[in-house]
Amino acid sequence: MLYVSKVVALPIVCQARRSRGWAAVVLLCAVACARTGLYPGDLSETEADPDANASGGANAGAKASGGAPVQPLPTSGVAPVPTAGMAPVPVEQPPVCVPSPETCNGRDDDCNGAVDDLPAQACPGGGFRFCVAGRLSECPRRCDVCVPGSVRVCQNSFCSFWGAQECAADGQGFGSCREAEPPSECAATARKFEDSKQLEQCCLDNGYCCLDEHDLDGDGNRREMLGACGDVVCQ
Amino acid sequence: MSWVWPAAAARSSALLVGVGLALLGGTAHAAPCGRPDVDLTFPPDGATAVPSNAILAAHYGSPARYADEVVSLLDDGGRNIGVTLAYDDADSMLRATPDQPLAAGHFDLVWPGLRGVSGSGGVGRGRSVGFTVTSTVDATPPVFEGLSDIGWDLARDRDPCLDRLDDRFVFQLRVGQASDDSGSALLSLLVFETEDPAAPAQTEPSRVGVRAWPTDGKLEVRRPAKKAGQTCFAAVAQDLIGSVSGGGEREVCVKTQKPPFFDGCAVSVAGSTAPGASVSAWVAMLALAALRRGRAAHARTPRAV
Repeated sequence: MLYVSKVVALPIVCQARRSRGWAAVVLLCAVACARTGLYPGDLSETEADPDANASGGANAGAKASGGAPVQPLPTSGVAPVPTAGMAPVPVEQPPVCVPSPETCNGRDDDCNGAVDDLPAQACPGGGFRFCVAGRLSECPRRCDVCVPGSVRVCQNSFCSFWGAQECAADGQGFGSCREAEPPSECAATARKFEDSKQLEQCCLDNGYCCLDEHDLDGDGNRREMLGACGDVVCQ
Repeated sequence: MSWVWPAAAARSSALLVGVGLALLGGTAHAAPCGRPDVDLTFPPDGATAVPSNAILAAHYGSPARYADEVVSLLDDGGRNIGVTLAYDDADSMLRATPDQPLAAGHFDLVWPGLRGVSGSGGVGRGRSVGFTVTSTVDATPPVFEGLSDIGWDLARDRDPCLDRLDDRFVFQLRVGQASDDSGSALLSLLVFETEDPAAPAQTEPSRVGVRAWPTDGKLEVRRPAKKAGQTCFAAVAQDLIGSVSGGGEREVCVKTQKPPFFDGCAVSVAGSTAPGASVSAWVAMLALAALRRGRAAHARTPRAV
């Protein structure tokens, strides 16, 4: 409204003092524009955030994948007969669903009213994959990072140079490396070589699951585990 | 057991949060470390109208090792009913498929306790359930509206394995209506995280839980508060013969914020999160402040001449 007053109305008033004829034309145009609601500010607002309405305007909310694949009805036979002096008015028709085999794509392909109603798919290593959010879920694993409560051996840079890391109850990761006494078979190695490749090798040789801090396998990964880790890893 | 810190309050003063945390601390979690107790059964104890073609299942709370333990299924005459057993390591689920369709009547079922995969887990607790079977057959997949709303909070849970407090995002999900041949009470709810700020490149939804059907339409999901950001969930329902509903296309999303927790000044060794240390630090700081304030007031007091 302020925009209309300042940008449209005031120039019209000024122009009207100079030329009343032109002023009348401009006034008519302004009124016409106002009724269409087409103003530069409005246009820029719409273009700046096309998803403003789609996101719901809030951080939280629900979003659904696309609806059924639809095709518009052919207009033949449904278009209104033009009447002299009147423009034809289109009649809205409900879209028609064209059935096709249901696939995991967020659409109701088979037109049964349900989206992605597909059976679970068996995974090679056990468990099932399900169609959610228009795509297949990953195959489940028995844990995310490590088996809850399992323990791996780590090395400290002081005192005993031997430690243990326990996996969290939700299997999301390991706790800190807690100092522990090395087993008898590795005690001498720990005293002689301290935090070293030799001590890690001793850990492996004696059947423990060991953090590969010294990259004994030479793959550049010092966060992985080596040795007897079958009861620690998730797969 | 844990306590929850509301998200709105978490955005307020860090000092208040620090005081609150130092004073409240955390409480011990009920679940034992790595012990694979039976935490869910399908059908649940006391279920009625179980279809005659149901596949019976028990879910274990931690990875377990199945060593041909026996599942006992007795009908109301005390006769043992033959079942074929299969343990799914990826799902931590033991499934018992009756060799014949179940006759109508009451059944008693004993799920065994299984040994944990980790050495510390020990043998988990089994569970006994009773349920009533009807002559109906479950033939059609369930119908499910999907998740409809989401909220979130921050919590600090004590990890029973590590004996430390861990930050958790607690998501409250609202579950839409569902229906099935045998009613919605016998359905299981499979919840998936479809968008994870900690793994933005991951395209496949990851399953975050199998739950019994929530009768109040509310569901709580706890996730590690590693990274805040846009987080989305979706869910599908599954009936007792394994048929899956639609509704998984409906995602609910929320944007989490990083917890501004302030543990206070630790006077213990580095890395210690013992609440006692924080409390003592705060008490010491308050006492010091009171002492200094007292001295300043004393200095300002005009001396009698």
